[in-house]
Amino acid sequence: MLEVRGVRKAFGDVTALDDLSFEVRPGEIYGFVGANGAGKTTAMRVVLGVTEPDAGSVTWRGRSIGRRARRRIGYMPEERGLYPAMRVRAQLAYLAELHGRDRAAARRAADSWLARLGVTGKDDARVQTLSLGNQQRVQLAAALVHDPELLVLDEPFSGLDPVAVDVMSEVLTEQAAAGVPVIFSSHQLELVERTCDRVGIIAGGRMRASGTIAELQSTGLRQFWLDAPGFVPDQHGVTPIRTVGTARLLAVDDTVDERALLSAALAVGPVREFRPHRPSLTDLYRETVAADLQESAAGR
Amino acid sequence: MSVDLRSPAPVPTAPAEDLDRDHVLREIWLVVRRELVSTMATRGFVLGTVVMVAALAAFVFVQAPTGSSGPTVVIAGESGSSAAAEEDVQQAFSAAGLPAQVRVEDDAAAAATAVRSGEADAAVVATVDGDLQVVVLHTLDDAVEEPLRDVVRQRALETVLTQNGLDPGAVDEEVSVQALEVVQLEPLGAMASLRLSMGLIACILIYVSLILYGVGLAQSVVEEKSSRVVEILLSTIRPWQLLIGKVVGAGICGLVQLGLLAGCGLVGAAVSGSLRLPTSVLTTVGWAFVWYLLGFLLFATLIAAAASTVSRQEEVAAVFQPMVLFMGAPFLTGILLAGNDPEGTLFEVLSMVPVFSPIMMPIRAGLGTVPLWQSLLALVLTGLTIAVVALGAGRVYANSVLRSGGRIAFVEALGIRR
Repeated sequence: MLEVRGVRKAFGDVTALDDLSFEVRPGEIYGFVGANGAGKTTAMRVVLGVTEPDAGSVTWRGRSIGRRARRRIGYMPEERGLYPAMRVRAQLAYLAELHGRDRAAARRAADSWLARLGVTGKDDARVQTLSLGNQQRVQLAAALVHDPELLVLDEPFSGLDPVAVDVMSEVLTEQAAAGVPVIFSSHQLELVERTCDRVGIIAGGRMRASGTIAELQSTGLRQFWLDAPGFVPDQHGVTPIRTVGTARLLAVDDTVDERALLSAALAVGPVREFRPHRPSLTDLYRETVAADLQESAAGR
Repeated sequence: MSVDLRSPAPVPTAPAEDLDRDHVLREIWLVVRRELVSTMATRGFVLGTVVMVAALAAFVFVQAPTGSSGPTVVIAGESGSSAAAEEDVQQAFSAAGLPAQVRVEDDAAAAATAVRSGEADAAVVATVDGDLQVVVLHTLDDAVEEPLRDVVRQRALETVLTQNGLDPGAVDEEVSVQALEVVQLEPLGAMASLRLSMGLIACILIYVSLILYGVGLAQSVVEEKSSRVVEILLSTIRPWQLLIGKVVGAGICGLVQLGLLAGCGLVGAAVSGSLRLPTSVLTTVGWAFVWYLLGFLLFATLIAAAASTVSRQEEVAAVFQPMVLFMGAPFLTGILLAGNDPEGTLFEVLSMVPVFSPIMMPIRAGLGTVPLWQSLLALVLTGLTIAVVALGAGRVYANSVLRSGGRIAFVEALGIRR
């Protein structure tokens, strides 16, 4: 299990991470969501040891993470990172060797990942001559080529074509199934919702929410769609969130009984629809970030 | 609603795995190997080396004596019956495979004038007591010396024989040990032009190589930074390992190229006979390599650190220019002083100042005027400077290499100002 506890990091006056904590269990896919500049990349770099935190700890399997453990991490940086003029196979073999594999094993691994990801006949091509799609495959291979025990991927889905997105999800799922904890960040929230076992929403360097989608859904206010033309929901504890046609999405706090709400609506006129709403990750994210914005505005 | 499990409980630290020396060295070697392969397997390196070797070969062949016009030897009138002597000299040179132009002058003074004016390479004159001596301007060419020695010996032998009617074998032994008496009209001493030019060539090659591989290194550092490979690399190795690996890799590339050049030059010179190679040349070459290595370590770590503060290839020139000036100062000073006063105190003192040593010491080594203690002092001082510079450069590199965007101030990168 990977545990990040109370990590703080400031760059000059800018606080990038503020008491950030989360954990990823074996075989779990953990999705990191947050706006640009929220601290996702810095958090990942701290895990990788590329950035030294000002405070806090990162532990792997119960021990403070060290070089040896970090050599077993597979990493894909957000803006990708391959030597443009280096040949595909040589590049993968080099990265595998740097991560501790011997030369023969490194080459075998490079070959098998290239085949597995469908980059064939390009072994001796320079990376810069490959199509974007193939470059992305090679990039993924670069993260996997040393048989990592932990995967950290910064925006792995960004810029992928639909087929590549499927390949990527498949590989991540497969790695997780093999017991490898996978952390990735993404702006594609439906994808995160579909792929991840657990999600962390990060804003302003703080972890605003973390847990399974179901957990996150249950932590907020209950929400209902109510389509009752002519009814104005003005009870205490009921907050309209948005309106689609005559239907309203209402957030209802614990003081309100939904039967009372429905009765009140029926008393005014016909009710065409009344159903509970499970907020999507996108909704949860918006709520969280909006709350964060309000908070920081209030703080000023 | 965040699942906050803040636990300030003490965390067991990792064992001494971070001090795993084998891994550290292996990783540095992997970086070095990648640099070597990615540099040497490029068309630029191969072409550049071929062009430089070809240029050197051309230089050597231009310098080589052309077969058709052999040396010109003057014989002064008194040195015996001129016609017979002329024939003997001609024969001796032909036998040595170096046909010579032989001329006869009336007296020793006229012969010396011919040598002084450069018309003749050497003159054979008789001294007052009847011995033969060879007069040259600066030095006697090996190729000219051999046949002349034969002639002079033959003459002496004949004289002895005709005078005493002795057994030729015994006499042969006696005269064979007789040294050829050589008179230098303008002895060169330490200013020997060959040695000076050896030193200068070494100095120029070192400078050119430092600049070439310095630029290559700077570009390579920025390439890693702009392509973000450096993030992946630094997730496994530490910045100083990457820095050392890159510097050493580039240094070896330069060294291999210089070695090829030196080898081709020496072999070419030996084969064509344009330059006779005294053992001092090997010493010069040896010192040149030592100083190249030290110079590279010194300047390249600085260059790599400077390059790490920028993010785009276009900015490399901006950080490289000051480095060129920095390296150019000792180079120009060295060249100028060597032309004027290669044995002066200023040259002597400057060549022991760390930044100047790598470029100026090879010139002095070429001249053969460096006392061992001065070489050692310069080595120690440069070594210490390298250590200090490497520490600072390592810091700048580590602080800059992951930060992209604008250029990072050196002071900030050193961590003096945060």
